[in-house]
Amino acid sequence: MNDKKSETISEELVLHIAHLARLAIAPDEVREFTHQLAGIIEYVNMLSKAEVKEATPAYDPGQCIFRDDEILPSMPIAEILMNAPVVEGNFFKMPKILGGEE
Amino acid sequence: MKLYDKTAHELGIMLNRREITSQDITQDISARIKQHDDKIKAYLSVMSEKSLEDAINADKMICDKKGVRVTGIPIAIKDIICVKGHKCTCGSKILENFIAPYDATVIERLKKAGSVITGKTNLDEFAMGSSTENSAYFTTKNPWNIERVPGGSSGGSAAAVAAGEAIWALGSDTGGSVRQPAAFCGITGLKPTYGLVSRYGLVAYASSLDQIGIFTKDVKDCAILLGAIAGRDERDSTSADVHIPDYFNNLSENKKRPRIGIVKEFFSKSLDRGISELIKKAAEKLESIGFPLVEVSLPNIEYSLPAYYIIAPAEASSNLARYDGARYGLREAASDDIISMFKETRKKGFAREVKRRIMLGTYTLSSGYYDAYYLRAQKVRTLIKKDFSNCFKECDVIMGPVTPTTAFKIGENIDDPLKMYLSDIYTVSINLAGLPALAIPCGFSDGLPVGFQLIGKAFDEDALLSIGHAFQSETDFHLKRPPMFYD
Repeated sequence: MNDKKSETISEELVLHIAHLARLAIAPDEVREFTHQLAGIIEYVNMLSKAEVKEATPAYDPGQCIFRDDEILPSMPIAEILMNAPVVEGNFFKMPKILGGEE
Repeated sequence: MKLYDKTAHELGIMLNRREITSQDITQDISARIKQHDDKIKAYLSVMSEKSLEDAINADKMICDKKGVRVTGIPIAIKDIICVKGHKCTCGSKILENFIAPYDATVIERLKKAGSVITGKTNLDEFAMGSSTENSAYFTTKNPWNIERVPGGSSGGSAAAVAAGEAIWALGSDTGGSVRQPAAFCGITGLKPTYGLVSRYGLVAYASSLDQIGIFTKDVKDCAILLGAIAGRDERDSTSADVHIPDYFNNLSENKKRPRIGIVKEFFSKSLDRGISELIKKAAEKLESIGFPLVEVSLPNIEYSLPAYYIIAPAEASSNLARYDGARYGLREAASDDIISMFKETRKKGFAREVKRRIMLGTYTLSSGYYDAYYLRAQKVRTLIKKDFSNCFKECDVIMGPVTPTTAFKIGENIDDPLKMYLSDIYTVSINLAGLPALAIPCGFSDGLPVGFQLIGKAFDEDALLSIGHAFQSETDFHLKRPPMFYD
């Protein structure tokens, strides 16, 4: 298990996290976020004291909920596009996806 | 006639006797909003014309003898619940001009029952906060002292009910966001059992924790409103398939005397002495009414706040990924590559606290950190759930504080996120366990309201409401009104 929790939060790490989260942060914000996130992580590290050996994680819903496979009306296209920033025909218009940063 | 000062159950009787109309109530509330909301700032948008139309429709329903208990009563809605055709900003700039294309299930049910919607209330952005100071628009004031916060994230809804700018209101509670503002504003607030009220149309913050909650002047009104919105919804797969009791009629029917557990870990140094005294007095009052008190323990309770501040931001980082400028909301069109568009849109559209929580969530879910943080927090969540189950072998309902302090000053905690998170210390465990909890006013400390909460077994809202109703039948804290806005 690659347990990196003892590393402190560095500004490089914060910039990496921001990139993963598709957030641009201004240079003057990086230091402040780094300091605040480090403080929060230090606080939540208290969980390392908890006796979790026997516990299973709480996220298993136990069953899948299905509905009957019947065709129901879809949301009208006009309503779907109603809040769209840029529209072309019945499409959301987007900047180039291929050949970009990644 | 000061209709704004009456409860829904009182107004219901007057409506049925044709002493007043829904239009009378609605006009009274509208006038109240016009008169006071510039000072309180509870509302992001007021639906004056629409509310009058709703009132006319409600009056027709009552005339046709089709009225029910919520018919004709003005309700304020936290601006994170979709009302079709109206803006739903979630307190954020990223949805500044977003018009909801559909009604939330709770709104559909309320409209069908002839409710009157007064408007959308202010909140911390995307429900992330404990003071309503994180709204991208403005801060709401506490009607008891306008230099203080109303609490959060549903501060607008709480302030509106406390000041008579709505008869009742809906909010949402993910880590205390209904109960804490209810306590700060001296009103009644309920977080239902997870799954009791449909989340369809509630903009998601943390999907395993979010629940739509209720603000009212008293427990009787709470029982009425809960009955109108609770129940299975096919469109929310986490919605429970349980029988919905007649909460209102059951209030006085309940002859049982549930045992009330007092959690020893709740009365620690972090609890303000004034609040501690009032909670103890409230417990003594309940005992004198005939509810036996039992000392109980929640051994892992100190881990609930750190577990919450790992799980909720993790879920938020996933839920808020949809705000990317593609299909709705703000798009920052400056650049012509997609990644830059996402980054700049989100940089511009989200304020600091939301960014902080997204980054926290992204970090704890990322490779190398997932096991130590998210997985561990979910295991701790299981421990907390087990603690509550064990408690409920010794008692039927648990009682405790809602907040460690009374309403703090505007600006006091805003620069210290961790200090702000600590105001949720008594509320988050209940969301982690998925249990219902009811916050009820129990006095004043230094002139500011204090509330206690009753925590119940899953789907046992009846027990909470009947104990709360018994308490309010013997006390008058719920009848107090903020002096600045009432003669």
